[in-house]
Amino acid sequence: MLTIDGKEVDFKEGATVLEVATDNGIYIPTLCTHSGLLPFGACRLCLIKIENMRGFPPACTTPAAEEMKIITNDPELNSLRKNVLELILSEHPHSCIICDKKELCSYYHISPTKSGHVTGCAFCPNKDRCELKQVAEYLGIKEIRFPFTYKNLPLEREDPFFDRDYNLCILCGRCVRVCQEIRGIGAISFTKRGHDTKIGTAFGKSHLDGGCQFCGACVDACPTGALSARGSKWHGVPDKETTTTCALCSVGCSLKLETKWDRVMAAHPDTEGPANQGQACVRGRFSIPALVNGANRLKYPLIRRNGRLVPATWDEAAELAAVKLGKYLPGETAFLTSPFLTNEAAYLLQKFARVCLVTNNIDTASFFSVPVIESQMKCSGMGAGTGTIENIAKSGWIIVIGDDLLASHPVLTVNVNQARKQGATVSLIGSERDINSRMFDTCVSVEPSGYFPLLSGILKTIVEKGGFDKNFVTGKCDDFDKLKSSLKKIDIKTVAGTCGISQSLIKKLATTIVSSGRGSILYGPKILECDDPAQIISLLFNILLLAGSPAGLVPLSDGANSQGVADMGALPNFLPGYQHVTDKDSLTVFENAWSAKLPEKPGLSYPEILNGAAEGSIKALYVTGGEIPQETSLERLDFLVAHGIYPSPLFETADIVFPAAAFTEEDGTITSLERRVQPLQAGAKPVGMSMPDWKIICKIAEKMNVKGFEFSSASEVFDEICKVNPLISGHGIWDLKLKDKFTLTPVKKTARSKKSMLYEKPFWHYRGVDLTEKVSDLKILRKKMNIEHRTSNIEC
Amino acid sequence: MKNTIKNIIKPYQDEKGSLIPILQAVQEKTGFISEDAVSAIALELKMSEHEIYGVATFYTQFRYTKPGDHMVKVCLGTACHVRGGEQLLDRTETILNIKPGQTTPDSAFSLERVACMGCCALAPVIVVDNKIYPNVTVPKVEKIISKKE
Ligand code: SF4
Ligand code: SF4
Ligand code: SF4
Ligand code: SF4
Ligand code: FES
Ligand code: FES
Repeated sequence: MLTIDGKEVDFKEGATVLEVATDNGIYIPTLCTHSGLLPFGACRLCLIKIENMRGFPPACTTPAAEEMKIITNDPELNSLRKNVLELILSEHPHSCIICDKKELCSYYHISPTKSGHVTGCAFCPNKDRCELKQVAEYLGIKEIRFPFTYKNLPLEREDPFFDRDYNLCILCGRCVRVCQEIRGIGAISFTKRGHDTKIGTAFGKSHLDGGCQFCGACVDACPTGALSARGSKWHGVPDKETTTTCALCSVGCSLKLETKWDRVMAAHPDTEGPANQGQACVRGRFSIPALVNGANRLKYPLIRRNGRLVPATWDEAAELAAVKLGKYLPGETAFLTSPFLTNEAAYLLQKFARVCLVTNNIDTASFFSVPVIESQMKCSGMGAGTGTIENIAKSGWIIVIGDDLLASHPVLTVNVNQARKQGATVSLIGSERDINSRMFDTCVSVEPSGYFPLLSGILKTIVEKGGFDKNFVTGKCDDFDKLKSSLKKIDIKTVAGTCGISQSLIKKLATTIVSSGRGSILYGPKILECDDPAQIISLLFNILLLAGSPAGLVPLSDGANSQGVADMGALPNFLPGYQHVTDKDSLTVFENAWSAKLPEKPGLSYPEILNGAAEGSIKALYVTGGEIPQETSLERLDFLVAHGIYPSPLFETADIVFPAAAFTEEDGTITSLERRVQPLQAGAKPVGMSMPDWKIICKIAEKMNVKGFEFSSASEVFDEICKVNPLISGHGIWDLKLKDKFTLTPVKKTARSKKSMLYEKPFWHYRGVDLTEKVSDLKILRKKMNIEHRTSNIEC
Repeated sequence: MKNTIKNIIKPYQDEKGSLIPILQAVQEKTGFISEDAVSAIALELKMSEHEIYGVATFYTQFRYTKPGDHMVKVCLGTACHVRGGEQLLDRTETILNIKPGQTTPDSAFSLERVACMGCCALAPVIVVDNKIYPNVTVPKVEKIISKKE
């Protein structure tokens, strides 16, 4: 209990005075405090009075204590704060702040005036959200009693994505701290001292050269206009703000889209986002407008006439698709799902395939291929990982294997960094980059071919040295002995030799795992390049079980909705909710729900479909994304339907092209890598005549006169999903219901399946559209980060 | 460079707050703190190079350019300052065409400003390669420097 402004209040142990005040609705002006950052005490704006304490302690760094008597506001404090702020403003362009015509002026200067140098708020891109300006207004600053110095620093505009004008900087350090404390990057720092102090980089390097990831966290944290997003800084107040989910990777960050003139102009991370808590990455933060507003977006349906694709009406195109598709035998048609489709679209696509064309030939061009899903099912009981993002942050040890996490799922590095700050040991198995050496405690540079020996070596060391979670293993895991005997043949020395690493490193990894409590393993698409990806997943799960952490397996799926598309049953052998098509009871349930006779035999997998198309056994192909290996020959196809948002090479052979809405233009849901079902909300209308994918499918079904596709909104589709898919009951993480008893899998080397297929796709893409082609700054970054296209491999 | 730094760091490994002594040791060994040195320290200490640079530039004792063959120090301590040290520095900057802390492109001269050399009676002073030039006037600067060329 303490007293604050005469009010007696309770407080949480360890809270600062500032937090107690905020919790009780008392405002204390601050500038250097920022949510998620440690108290810094730099701006001196939050000075308060505490009885029996000398001077004016800052509220943000003073811990609350029992019996404290605090005064947060009185004339003396107010004039003190004014003084502090005047000092700050004496080095900051303040003409507009003290101008007595500013009310009138803001009437004419509705949006900021584009200018090279900012000399006052009217010319500042930050004027509509400026914290400094707000605090000045709150304190009623009318004059600055100190001489004004303009620092006259050169504008820094040579880096991609955001501009820096350090003449506006008040040295609050929020950018430096967010980059270091939260992102774990440390791309900027306070340099020099005294009057020369400036936020900068080592030797004045560009951000690009200095390892900046252009996540934009510093821009969002800055209380002034010193840092501003180049693409959106002059747009002024948006007409509308919409909360949606980023569909550019599977982390599932919540974003606030800013719309102006019915176009999405900017996106900011949502501080309330369950997966990202106010963080985003270069794609979500800076790349969306250029991606969705490209001039050559597909705007109307196209049909092939006399060898050329020509514009058509929706009715014509849908009618044609319905007539043509209806002509083929079930075995002659196939569907390829993009892992970027919404749950609603994926659900309806598989329903369409199964109900209208009576085929199970549907699969996804994703890391979540059937073998990966099946081996995840062995581990978790469902085609999903077991881990959550929250668990990652709480882990005592973390292994990242088979992906370039900082580039592929940047916001996850925030959670990894958080765990690391609390003492977790983080290891990377995969490629090595300089910047990784400070994000990870151990970097093991091993090619995918070395994953199997390395992981078996680690397992063997753990099993033989002991120290693992015996209680968990004896109580909850079967087949420990089988695992143990299967490891007999493994020789650590040979393993070390094959992987080109030292034996002590293997030992170190094993020791970390058994001695650091609960852990998480994040595994990415590079495991598909191993001889037997399924085996790799089992090994990883074995390791987790030995550490007593069954809920630590996190798939770094490549598509934003790889998880959801699989959950929805857009797979050749599973109905929605991972119910096998050969299971009579499940099939009956769906036959009743959909009032249709469903195919009973598993369909063709992704590589089989493509082979079939090349050989001519598949005659009609329906493709919803551009994620198709370029080598695939589609010439022998009789009929090709494609959904797309931009022209793609597929269109050379396509007979019908349907223009799809981008994720910023549609409602629906997507499911992240932690199984979190999250809403999409349209920030703008679909471009031209384009339509959400689910609507396109409904249109064709309607033309085929098939019942069960009469939906008028995405939420109606979602309602049906909740009814028929036992996993999904609404938004949020769907419950995995982990098994009571797990099975350890014996280690067995197997040869690569002959039916596997290697293919290349852009590292950052949305439905096959290479982001770096649409966002030129992203291309610069990709070059710098040395990110090549992804080679992926899909097995049947 | 990586190996040199490794060796320098070894005695300090696992010591908290050892960055300053490491930087001092690097400067002693190599004469200055180079970009490569900072990157190498960053790798070893698992810190960001920018953080290290930030810490280093907070102290005035470090230099970031390779020292030239001759070190010119202009004193701006109180005594030298009141007797015209500032003008001497100005003149020196013009002649060498560099700022304090920099080295001429031909690596002949480095320029530094110092605060009191402990011989205020001789103010204003310029020190070239540890030789003290007393009671320097602006015209003399050119002579002192040209002698070294
Ligand atoms: S940073 Fe804020 S206070 Fe400064 S000029 Fe811009 S809007 Fe005004
Ligand atoms: S964009 Fe991100 S990585 Fe770059 S300086 Fe800002 S916070 Fe750091
Ligand atoms: S750039 Fe912005 S966030 Fe960084 S110190 Fe300056 S005012 Fe603060
Ligand atoms: S981490 Fe993924 S979901 Fe989050 S902003 Fe980046 S691309 Fe979007
Ligand atoms: S908010 Fe307390 S000192 Fe800045
Ligand atoms: S002030 Fe220059 S020597 Fe003392």
